[in-house]
Order: sequence, then structure tokens, then C-alpha cells
Amino acid sequence: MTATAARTKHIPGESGLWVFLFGDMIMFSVFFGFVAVLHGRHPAMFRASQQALHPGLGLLNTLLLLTASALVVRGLRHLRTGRPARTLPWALLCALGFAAIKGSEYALVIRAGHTPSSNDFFMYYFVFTGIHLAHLTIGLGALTVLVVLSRRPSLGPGKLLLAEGAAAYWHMVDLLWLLLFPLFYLVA
Amino acid sequence: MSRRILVASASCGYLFVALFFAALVTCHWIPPMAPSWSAERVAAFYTEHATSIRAGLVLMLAGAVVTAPFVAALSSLIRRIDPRLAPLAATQLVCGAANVAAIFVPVLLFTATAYRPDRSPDITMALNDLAWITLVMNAFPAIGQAVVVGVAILADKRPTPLLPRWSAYLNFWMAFLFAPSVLLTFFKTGPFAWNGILSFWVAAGAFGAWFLVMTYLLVRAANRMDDDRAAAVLEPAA
Repeated sequence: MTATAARTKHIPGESGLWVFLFGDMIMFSVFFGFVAVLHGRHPAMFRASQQALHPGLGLLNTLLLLTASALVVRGLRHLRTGRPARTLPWALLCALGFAAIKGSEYALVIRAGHTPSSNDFFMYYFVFTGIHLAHLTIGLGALTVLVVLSRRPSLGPGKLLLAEGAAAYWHMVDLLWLLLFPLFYLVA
Repeated sequence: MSRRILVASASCGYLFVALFFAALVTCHWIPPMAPSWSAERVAAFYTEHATSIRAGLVLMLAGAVVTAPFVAALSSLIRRIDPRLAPLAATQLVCGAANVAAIFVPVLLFTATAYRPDRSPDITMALNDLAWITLVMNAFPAIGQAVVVGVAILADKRPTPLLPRWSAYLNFWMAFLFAPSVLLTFFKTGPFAWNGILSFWVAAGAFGAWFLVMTYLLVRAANRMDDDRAAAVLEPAA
């Protein structure tokens, strides 16, 4: 890459996609605000409810998403240079693992007698992590697109832009969980 | 397609937002009534504001109808992007028609609620619940509309698309913003109740913003298009 090319700004994916990504992140910031306000108003209830969650599973999920993101970064670098991107199916597997663990945690919490209508903590926990899980499900589609693209011998500029967009979406899913995890599981 | 008809139909989007907002203000629904209110408080609200609620509802009824030309203009434009997108245009039209009903039906339920505010408060409360839930929990047709419009915009292969590509992603975001209102079924207080920040303020705000942005973009796109007159007009029969 020449010095001039390195200096020009490059937006990953097509620029319009960032309308959605930033919009989505604004919405999640509002969610985080609700949780913060609840914690400020009812710290004792917040801490007591928090005990019903499973921070070990939450941490495992955090590691799965971070691994998936690292695999996507590596895979995209290979796609750009036309090398085989073998890491991408593993990223998809990590994402599926996250969904399975999240589902199991929901089941454990519900079996312990906590539902969205128990109190405001559980309402926010189920709704906001549920909306995140819906995003992750769309992310499975984005990762599948990446896997399919990686099977092609080479990518034109249009397909590369699509791959970058799918990767950017995936990183947003990861980023949102990195904020949700401490907010629900760790804040004391 | 006549450009003038297309611009006029699309512009009905502005009229809808104006009528709907005026109706909300007239009905004293900004801020909206709360699902946590007692039956007595609900009945007292209808007694106190009976006339303005009835009048506001007529405005809202008119607003529901003017979404029809807007939705038709949007479907015409989707066909114009590419005639092969006809199923998307049709889906948009169906969802748009469902939206007309999604405003029409609750307005008539509200009208029935406000018809006899001196009846037993429990009945007024039941009718009021029915009307609010019908009005606010109708996200899915709007979500379908936004997603389909977004896909159609991305399918535009022109160097300068008729509708800009960022507006496709705006549609996808709007679909996401409409969604939380379906959660109102579970809550009577908080951000997901029918008067909540996410169910009402964000969803209704997004709905209004969607109409304003799409109307502006539709009118702009219509002005770029040729007014292709029908052959019969160009060549009068001998």
C-alpha cells in the first residue's frame, strides 16, 4: 500500500450501513441508561437479583464473542489478500455456542423462579439481553455470508464491501455484549 | 406514470404526520394515558375531555386514510426502481394497508370508549385498554414495510439510486425501533408499557420520522423521474 493510500480514510463496509450501526448503538445506550438508573435507585434489589445470574456462563460467552471477533478480523484480512479464510466457520461456531449458553442460562434463571415480571432487574435483563440475542441471530446470518464469500476463489470490490459490512455488524454485536456483560453481571 | 400524481400522493405523508400529531394533542394524549391508572381515573379523564377526545379521533381517522396514497406512491417507486421487485412492492402495499387498519380500528374503539364516559368505570377501563393496546401494539406491519423498503432500495443498481442507499439502512434501524412496542403486553409500568419511553415515545417518534424522511426522499425521487405520458395521450386516435 502506498503512503497516499494509507492516509486516505477507509470506512469499512458501505458508508450507509453506519447509519444503522450508530443508530443501533444509540438505542442500546438508552438501554444501558435504564439499567444504570435502576442500579442507582435500588442498589440492594439490584445486587440481590444479580445473585441469580451465572457470571461464569457470562464470562464464557464474553470469551466466545471475543474469539469470534478475532477470527473474523483474521478471516477478513485473508479475504482482502485473496488467501483462504479458514477461520470464519470457527467464528460461526463460537456464535452458535454463545446462543446455546445464553439459552441455557435463561432456562437456569427461569427454573430458579425469576421471570421478566419478577422485578425491574429481571425485566431489563431478559428484554435487553434478549434484544441482543436477536441481534446475534442476525449476526449468524452475517457470519454465514462471510463463510460463503470465503469459499469463492477471489472477491470483487462489491463483494469485499459486503464482507466488510458483515464483519462490522458482527463487531457491533460483540461490542454491545462487552457493555451488557459488566452492567448486569459485574456492577456491584 | 404521471409525475404530478406521484408527487401529490407522496406528499400525503406530510399530511398524515400533521393530522396524527394534531390528533394526539387534541386528545390530550401527549403524554399518553398510563396503563397503571385506576378505573376511576380513566373514567374521569374521558368525562373531563370527552369532546376534545371525540374531535381528535376524527382527525386521526382522516390521518389513517391519507397514508393510503403515500403507501401507493412508495410501491409505485419500488416498481420503478426495478419492475422485477414487484413482490416487494406488493408486500409494502399490503403492510401499508394493514397500517391503515391499525390506525382505523383503535380510533373507532377509542370513539366507543369516549361515547358514554358516564358508564361503569370498569367497562370504560376495559375499552380503554383494548383501544390503547390495539393502537400501540401494531409494530409488525410497519416492521414489514420498513424491511421491504430497505431491501428494495439496496436492489437499485443505478449509479445514483432513486432512493439513497443510506435510507435503506435507516429503514432497517426504524424496523428495530418499532419492535419494542410488542412488549407492552407484558408490562403496566416502565419503558415497555404502552405509555413507556420505548413502546410509545421512541416507536411513535420513529414512525413519524420514518414518514417525514420517506416522504421527502419520495418527492425528491419523483422529481428526478420522467413524466412518461401514456401513448393514448401522445397520439390521439384518428
